[in-house]
Amino acid sequence: MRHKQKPDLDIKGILPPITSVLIFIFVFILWGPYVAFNTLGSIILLYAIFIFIAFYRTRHIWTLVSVIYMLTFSSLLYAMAPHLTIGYEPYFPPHVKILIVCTVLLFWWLIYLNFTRKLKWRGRDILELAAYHVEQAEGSFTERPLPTSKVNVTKHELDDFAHYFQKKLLGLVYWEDSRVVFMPLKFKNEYLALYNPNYNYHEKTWVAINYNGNVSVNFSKKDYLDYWEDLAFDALCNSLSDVIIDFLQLYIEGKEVRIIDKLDSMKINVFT
Amino acid sequence: MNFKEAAKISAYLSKDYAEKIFRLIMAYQDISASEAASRLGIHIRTVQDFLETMAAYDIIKKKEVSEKKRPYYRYSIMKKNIEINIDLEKEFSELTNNPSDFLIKEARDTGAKFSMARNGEYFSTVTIWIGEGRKSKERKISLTTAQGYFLYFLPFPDAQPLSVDEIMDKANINEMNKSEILDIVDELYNMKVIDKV
Repeated sequence: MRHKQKPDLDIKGILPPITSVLIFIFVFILWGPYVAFNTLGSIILLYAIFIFIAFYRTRHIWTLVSVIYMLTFSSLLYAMAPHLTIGYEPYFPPHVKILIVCTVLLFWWLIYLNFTRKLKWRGRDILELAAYHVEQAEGSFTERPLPTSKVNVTKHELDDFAHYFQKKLLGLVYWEDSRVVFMPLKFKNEYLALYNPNYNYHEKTWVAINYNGNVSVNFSKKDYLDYWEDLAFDALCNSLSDVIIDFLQLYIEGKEVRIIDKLDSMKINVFT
Repeated sequence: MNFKEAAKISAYLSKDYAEKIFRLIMAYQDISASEAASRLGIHIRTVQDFLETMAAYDIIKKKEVSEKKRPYYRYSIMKKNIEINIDLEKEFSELTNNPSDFLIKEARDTGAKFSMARNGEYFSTVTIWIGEGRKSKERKISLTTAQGYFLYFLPFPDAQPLSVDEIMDKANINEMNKSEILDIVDELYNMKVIDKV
């Protein structure tokens, strides 16, 4: 199945680990293993804090596994540091060995969660689903929101669904005075969205539902150009709106598992 | 009186010598341009222009006299009340009588940027770049609330065009705002942001 979106070849996602390794090597060369392991332990601890912020924002339970893994790994590095001397074989006390086992087990658990898409931001899947039945059309893009339709939903249902939307990493939600804005978030784009206090979501791709039920859609140029071809823009916006409304209805009916089924059926690469 | 005439008269009346010339006209039976200019210490051409304009609009009357070698004009007051009266409704009758039986939608590849209002439910401004490359200039139009709602519901370039009335209906805009809607449609059409079908 050829996807309508281009594959994501961006290396943003692996920049943090690459940077960490480079810093570790640099410090190791200059100051030896003790300082290097402590430095790397501190970097990993910092990652743990950032990932916890993501958990706090989304309440996505599997993110906690990442946090625990980072904390364990960081503790391991701190615990190993005093026992490493160049030229001598390291001897690790029992608590270090326990930490090694825990780290390895958590690592493999994370790999499993990744392959089962439990840690994946689903923005790419949503945009792929939106484009599924949309035909090609040149020169139809315009950078402004489109009011699409109206839904019959209570404020309580809308807020509930919004929390679910974030919790399942479908994207981020912004609550405004009179409406709720759903922003599908692609994997590797979460750093700026989660950690930049001045992040301007108005310019990104979003679907807004106001408390009167009016639905409007905005498609960013970047996401539009991420498709292989120019798609009929009006149809694409309406389709994205329909996808979110469909998800909302499934959630209200208690069939939220179908939301994940639809997204999984897009078969987007787990690392994109 | 139309806008142009009113503007011309007002321009002359706003000159700092206007009051002085009228004082002379009211004081004298009649007066020539050179007499007025010498009395007031103003250049004769300036006074002549002023008096000719006032005569053209029947505020002052002029009489040709041939006392010396060359005939010249003497000016006296004709109207003791100067009124500038513009019937705005008549002047801008095309606003209410403008036909709106055409279909519109956004033009393709306009590059226009629509900025959202705070509540995110209509547009507050539209920015259009006029010209090419480095010489392009930014033109930013602040929209009224009705205009902002109207443009929010403007069909996309690849959507079915709609009439002004249909879009106003969708956007729930009062009929009394129609003239300002037609004004912005006209302006954006001239700037090639909107297509008329």
